[in-house]
Amino acid sequence: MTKRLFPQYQRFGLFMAMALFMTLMLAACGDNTATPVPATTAAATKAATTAAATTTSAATTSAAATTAVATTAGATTAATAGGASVSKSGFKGTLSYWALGYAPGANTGFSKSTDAAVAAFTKANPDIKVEVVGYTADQAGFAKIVNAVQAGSGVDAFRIPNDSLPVLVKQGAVAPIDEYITDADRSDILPGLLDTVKFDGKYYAWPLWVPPVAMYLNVDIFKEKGVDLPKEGWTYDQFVEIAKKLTFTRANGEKVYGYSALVDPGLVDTWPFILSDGARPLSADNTKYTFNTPEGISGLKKVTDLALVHKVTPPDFGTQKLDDILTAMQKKLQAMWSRPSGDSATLKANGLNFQIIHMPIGKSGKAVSAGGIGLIAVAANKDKARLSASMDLVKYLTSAGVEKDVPGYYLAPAARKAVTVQEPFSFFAPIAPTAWITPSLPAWTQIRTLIHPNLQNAIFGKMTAEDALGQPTVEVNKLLAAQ
Amino acid sequence: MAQFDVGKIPVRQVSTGQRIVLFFRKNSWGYAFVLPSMLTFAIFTFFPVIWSFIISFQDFRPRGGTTWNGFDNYVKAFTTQNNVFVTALKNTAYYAILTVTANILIALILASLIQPLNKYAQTFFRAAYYLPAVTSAVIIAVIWRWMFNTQWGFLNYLLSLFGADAVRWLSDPDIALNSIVLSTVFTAPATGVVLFSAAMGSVPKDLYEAAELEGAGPVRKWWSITLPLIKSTTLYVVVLYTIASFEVFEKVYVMVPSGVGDSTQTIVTQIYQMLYSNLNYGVASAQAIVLFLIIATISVFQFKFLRSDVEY
Amino acid sequence: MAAELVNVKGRTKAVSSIWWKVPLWLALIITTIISLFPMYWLFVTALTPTKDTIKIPPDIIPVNASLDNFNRLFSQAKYYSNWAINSFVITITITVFHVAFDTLSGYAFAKKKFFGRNVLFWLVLSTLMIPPHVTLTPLYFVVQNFGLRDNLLAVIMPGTASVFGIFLMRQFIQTLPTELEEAGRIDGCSEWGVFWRIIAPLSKPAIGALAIFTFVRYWNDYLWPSMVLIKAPSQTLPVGVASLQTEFSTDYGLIFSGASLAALPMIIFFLLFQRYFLEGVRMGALKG
Repeated sequence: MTKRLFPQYQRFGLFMAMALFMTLMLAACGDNTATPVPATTAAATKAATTAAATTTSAATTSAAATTAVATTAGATTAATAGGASVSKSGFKGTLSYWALGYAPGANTGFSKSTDAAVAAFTKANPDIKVEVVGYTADQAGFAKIVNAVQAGSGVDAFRIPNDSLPVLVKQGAVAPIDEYITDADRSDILPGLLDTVKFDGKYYAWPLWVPPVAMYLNVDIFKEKGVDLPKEGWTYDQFVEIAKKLTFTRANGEKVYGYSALVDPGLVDTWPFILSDGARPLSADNTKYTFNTPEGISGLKKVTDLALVHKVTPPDFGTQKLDDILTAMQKKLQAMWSRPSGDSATLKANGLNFQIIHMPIGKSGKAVSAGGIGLIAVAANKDKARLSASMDLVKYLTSAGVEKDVPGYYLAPAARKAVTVQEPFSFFAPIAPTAWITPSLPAWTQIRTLIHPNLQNAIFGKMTAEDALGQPTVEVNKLLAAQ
Repeated sequence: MAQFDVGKIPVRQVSTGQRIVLFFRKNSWGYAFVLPSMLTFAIFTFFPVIWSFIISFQDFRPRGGTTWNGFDNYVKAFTTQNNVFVTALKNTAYYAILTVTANILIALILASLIQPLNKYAQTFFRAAYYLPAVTSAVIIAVIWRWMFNTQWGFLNYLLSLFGADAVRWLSDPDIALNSIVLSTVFTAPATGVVLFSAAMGSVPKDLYEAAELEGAGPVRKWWSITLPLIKSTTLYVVVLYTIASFEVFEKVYVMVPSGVGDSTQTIVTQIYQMLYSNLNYGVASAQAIVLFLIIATISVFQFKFLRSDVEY
Repeated sequence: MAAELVNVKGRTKAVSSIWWKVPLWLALIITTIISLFPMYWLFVTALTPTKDTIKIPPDIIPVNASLDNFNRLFSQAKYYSNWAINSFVITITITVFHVAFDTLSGYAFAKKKFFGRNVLFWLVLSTLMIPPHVTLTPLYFVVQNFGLRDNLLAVIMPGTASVFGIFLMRQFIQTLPTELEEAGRIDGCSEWGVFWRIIAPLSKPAIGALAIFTFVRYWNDYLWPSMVLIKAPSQTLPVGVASLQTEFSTDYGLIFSGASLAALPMIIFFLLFQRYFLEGVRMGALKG
């Protein structure tokens, strides 16, 4: 710690004086273009990361604000096999790619592989630099991306879930991809996915992957209690039986819970249960609210019973944050967790002994999953060369070539047939085509914020399942009618 | 305003032309001195406020296509999403009433309690109460969320020592808002203590002595002398805390980011959701203007109500 | 029974008895503990190894204290020192401008006569009632139009003056005798000279208080910096610390060590200057 930090503080006075001066100097020219500092990508060695940290720190002192602008220097993992095509846009400069869930230099799979993929692209296109900006999947994160996309500068490409895209399209902030998508692309992308990005006859984003929800099993807890791991085709009742057996208190006072999952307006982690009896939130043509049906209500009861009747969920079920559940999984305090594929990378990296299985079967007779589509879109821009270069970048980041260059890039079943994803994500691939996908409707963000507090209240036992799903009916139908 | 009389006398003695020049000179210095800060306000406060006001009458599209829609946004502000804004108003009012009342009472009591202590002890306690106020609200909220955790939080551990059941502090809709109130109340009202303590220190001592000769006890003196004489401070503190509590946001957002049903929805969290989740700038602006009107009304009302007989 | 609560000099010596003093001190000490406990818990958690942070029962006194979390913070949160430097740059710059602008305006509003003075003053004062969230979106577009996103100036520029500061300086300067200015003018001082040589030196206590408040306020500022400082290296400590929560979601030790280090400078600053702090709070509320 001391070795890294203190040299900076020894020259602190100097830094401060310089910074103050530079701050004033930059009053007029504060754009992001000011002195980009080349830094190696985090995909490289530890030493490279350290170097990057030190160089950029000096740069930001002068308020120049540049993130790790990827150059080819550190891209050791990017093989030369070459999936990245050369951009014919003629664009020279820096593109800004906003990656959901990316943390610069963080030790997560997504951050590393994004760095490597971007490095592979810039290697093929030496005139183009790409800076990766991370944003979080919570409301604060979306606030940032929405502000930037709306303001119309500082963001070229951005990764976004399909249900958050339509509002931005409606505001005219997203560029259509029609001119850039080829017939080969169309036939490669899984059937139906392009329809979810189609508005008024135009396509507005490149589908990346489809992360559906499945059940994570904390194997060591099963062993501890001598419970057999469930087999594919298990039913909800079997699930409850297991969850009950795996809810217990250890001799040292630790409480172990059978099941938990996140409940958040932006997530559908508990929705497979609600959908398992055959209910869907909206009618097939998205004109009518259909969660208030008996199937929907019995489906929601499956979730609320876990908390209220079977008592297999932790006391904070309904308001837990990701860190609560990840901690519980890693500390072996939670046996089962319904969650999309991405986190299997985190659990694997932490050495947890876990298995993944399809969601238990409800009255509909088959395993139902839910999920969104990960998309990468390009912000509307009048600069044609810039737009075209951004399209080339995004096309590469959603292609089969990127998985060849950066094995393990796809953290979920890919949107293209040509991509073969790695273990354990490959497990999710057969689930993806049958999963219920969040609708691409401008009104959906409002609809889900209407449904969400009711789901919570039902879980807390403050509302019956009937009321929870019935009460939003009028309002949701109004929203659907208005579009 | 006695100080201006001095300046006026020489002006009257000179000719009209010179007077204009002099007057102009005087004015221009005044303008010059306020110019830098007024420029900052103009660009970063007045302009955004006016723009926000305009947006509240529009279907605002930053990338083009903005249309006017009259008072629609104001109607929608209240009716949208099953009247969630009304719930937010109620929650915020509940939070404000509880925290302001508690803060003022606690501040008054603590300030009164440290009054008889010696100088060093007074300084110590005032500093101790003020310390949390120099720490970021976000960090304080992170700690509270951590202490409120049902399974491994400190508060439930404390309860378990007394054999009490675990409380679902932030995951029971009947409790969550109260937990947030609790976290505010348990953080000493720093500004209040300091201000009351200063005001109490400046109450003339002979008043107390006179009261003692009349045979008044400490409680009587506190009620009849201290309280009336610090009323203007009370007014200031009440306004201060009321405005702060109506604008509560970071705390709620950090402690319960996904909400607890609608039970923790406050005015500002609702505005934030409207802005960045639904991208409805018009309605968000209308709701913000409503918040402004509420704060303005309360401030004016409190001034009128509390000021009527404070002068001394 | 009739004990004395109010400290009175002279004849009426306090009839203090142990029965009054014990509960009094007890009450004060308990409230102090309650009030300071979250701060204490912050540092305890920061010093507790992550594997022990969710232990039941928790260690109320950090028996296993180690600096391991801090070591990992500096090796893993690679922009932490950037955040610290950014925070210092922003708060110091803002404080300097703040003091200069607010003192000038405060002086003008207190002593200068100019057309529209009162209207302007009340206009400025009324903005105190405007919730900052009203202006969030328009302000963002303004800053974006200046090309300032991810530039520390985006935080610095809107912070160069404040209503509170102007109000405080006006209140203070109003109490200075006008005769001093007049004497200065007779001695041949220019208007600027009067301000610089007479008003500014006399206003030192208020300037000190204002500087301290501004420093603390902008050091802890979260919402606005979090909207305009997006890239990791350009963030400030509160924003960066909040992002640690998503980046190292389960590493509570690391998150809290980051948070405690962000809080530490202000705590030290406060303990060093606490007299001025408390003086400043009082001054800000002088009756106007």
